[in-house]
Amino acid sequence: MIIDCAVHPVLGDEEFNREIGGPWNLLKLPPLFGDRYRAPLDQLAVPAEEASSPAAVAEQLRRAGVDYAVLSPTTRGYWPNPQQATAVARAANKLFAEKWLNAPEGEGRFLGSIRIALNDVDVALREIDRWADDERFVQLVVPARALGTYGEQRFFPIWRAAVERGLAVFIHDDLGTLCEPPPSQVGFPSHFAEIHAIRPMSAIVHLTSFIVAGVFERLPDLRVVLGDVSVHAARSLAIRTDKDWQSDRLEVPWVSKDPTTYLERNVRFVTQPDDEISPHSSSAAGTIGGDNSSLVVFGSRHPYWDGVRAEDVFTTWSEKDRARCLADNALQFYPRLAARVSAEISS
Amino acid sequence: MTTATLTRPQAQENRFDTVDIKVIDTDVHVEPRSFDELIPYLDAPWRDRANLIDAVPWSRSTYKTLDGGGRKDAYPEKGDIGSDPEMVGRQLFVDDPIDFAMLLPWSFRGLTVDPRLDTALASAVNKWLADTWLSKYNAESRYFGAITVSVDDPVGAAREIDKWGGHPAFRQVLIGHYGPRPFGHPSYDSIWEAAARHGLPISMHFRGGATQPLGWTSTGPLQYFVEYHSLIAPMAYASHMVSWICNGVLDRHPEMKVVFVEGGFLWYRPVVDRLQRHWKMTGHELSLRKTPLEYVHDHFRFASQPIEENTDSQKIAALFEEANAAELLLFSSDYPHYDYDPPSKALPRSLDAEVKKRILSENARVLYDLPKTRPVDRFDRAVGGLQ
Repeated sequence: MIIDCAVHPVLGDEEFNREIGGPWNLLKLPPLFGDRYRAPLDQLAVPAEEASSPAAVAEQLRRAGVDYAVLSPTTRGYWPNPQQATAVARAANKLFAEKWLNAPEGEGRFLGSIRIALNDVDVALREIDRWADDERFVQLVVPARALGTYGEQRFFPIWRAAVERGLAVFIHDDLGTLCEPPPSQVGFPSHFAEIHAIRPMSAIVHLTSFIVAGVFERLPDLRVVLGDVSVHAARSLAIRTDKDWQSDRLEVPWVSKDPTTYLERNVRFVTQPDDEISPHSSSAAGTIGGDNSSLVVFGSRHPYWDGVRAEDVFTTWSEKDRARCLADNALQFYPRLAARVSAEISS
Repeated sequence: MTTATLTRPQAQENRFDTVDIKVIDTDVHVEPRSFDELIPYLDAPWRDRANLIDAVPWSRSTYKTLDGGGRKDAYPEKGDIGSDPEMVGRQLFVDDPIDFAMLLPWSFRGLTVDPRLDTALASAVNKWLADTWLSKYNAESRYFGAITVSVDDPVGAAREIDKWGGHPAFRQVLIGHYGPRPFGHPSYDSIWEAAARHGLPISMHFRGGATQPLGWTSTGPLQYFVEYHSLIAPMAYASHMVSWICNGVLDRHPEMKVVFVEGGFLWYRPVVDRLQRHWKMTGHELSLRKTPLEYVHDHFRFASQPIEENTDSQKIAALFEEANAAELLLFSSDYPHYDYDPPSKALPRSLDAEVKKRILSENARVLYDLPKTRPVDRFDRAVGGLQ
């Protein structure tokens, strides 16, 4: 079985803007990948119309042998105006539910993500309620670059709602409004190659924030999936946090286990193109803390340029470990996925 | 005994005897006894405005260890921590078997909003260091200095480097982690040009003082010191490293070397792997001569403290070796701070003995062009005696 945990359907400008409705549709949407950093390459691996076509994406997944795919569209960045942000998130969910989840070509493969705007937590909770009864939605999506770190208390009701509804939380880079903070703490780099290299940092900040602020302690069932971070990058910084926690745990007495323990329990990492060249990937046991084969979930990142094919994933791992990465880890991690698959098997 | 695993130089009677250099500490903080000691080194008109400089916060309680910050046994009876040459010399060279100490003064606290004030303070710190720790307190020639500069005043910084670049004891340039743009930005180029011209490596040490932004990330401010201290330095260093590579700075200044201090080691590999993976596609517009990993090998080094640790000594040693610690890692203790790593405990136990030797002294010796031996001195003779 193959479960693809990171497929990114593109909501086309025209249909998306129509769905957003007035008055916001009087304005143009920012481009899909933002316009600050021009990539010296085409960031879509397929023609734009295929990236926006449920039939084409379904065909791609069928050819790749994918049984289930978790789809998450982007909403083009952090919208500062709360009314506009709400309209954009709701439009994304509505368009996605109608056009993608209900597409007959999906043949039951498509699973969904609920987009929420973080400007107003009450509104975000209502948006979750609007869609969460549909069991095909398996996660929330929040942007990697927000205006706060996700351990902040103001976000807590969102994570609590995710746990209560059996939804995972997917953190994914989503840029475009030019309102997001600079991609590094030392300001704006000058090239696409630079921001691509440091992209994982934002989600690692959230991961650390969840751990240190005690969110995983208060919500032991919270499941967080990072879309742009290799497990090696996350571990290389968590090992520092382990040490600072040891010497300064007086500051965060609620953190009862070392930070890496929460990482292993509450977080999974979508396969990255660079996983395989990391010196730490040659064997699962070669990594501090050991078992990475249970922490990585396969995600093709289709239709993006830096995608990963199932047959290229961790080719040096044993078949058993690869199988875990391709399906079992996701089945164990996303509460709704396990329920869905077991229901289908028994029917 | 914290130093039991390292062989000590034997005390010698003949004062012209020499010992081999076995431990070079690349991160030692020394300070004036108090700010008053710095005032005479300020140039006019800043000497008359010393109160303005003294008001620049030394550290900030926004993000600060609750542990106090200093080694409990390193506070002298009088004066600030790291200010008593007898105590510092004894703790580094007698209690621990350190041969040379690379001094990184903390007195330049960080950036303020006034680049002229920053350069005035940097300039005073350099004069003070040259006059005290690099001469008066340096009869044994165990100390080497760093030229403190303010990156927010690149012209003033280059002038400072030119002023001290020929001084025999200044062996590097010291900068902080913060700048309004990543350091490959062309506005900083005069600093790297001057350092490379004088053959001086650049030591980057994160700073939590003055009034520069602290703890802000690409996704908002951090809440806790535990997050700040584990993430801020490596994230800033990664941004600068990638920026220096991608903006051609290392092609323009092939002699340039950078040491990332107190910011970890293992993180660099995933960051550079990610840059390297798609280099043909993302890097082709940059017209660079080498691959990212080649730039790292040729230009970047990492100081060891606080060393990444794991209870499985073999696993962590394997990670260090995979990340090429043998060539890229330099020992550092962070004396006199609370998280001091003594040389005997700084490295994973299972690391290959030859690799350990390189990390403890040889890598730094080559980088800073330091001697292979030194004369036996009074510190050697004090080893083993009661203090």
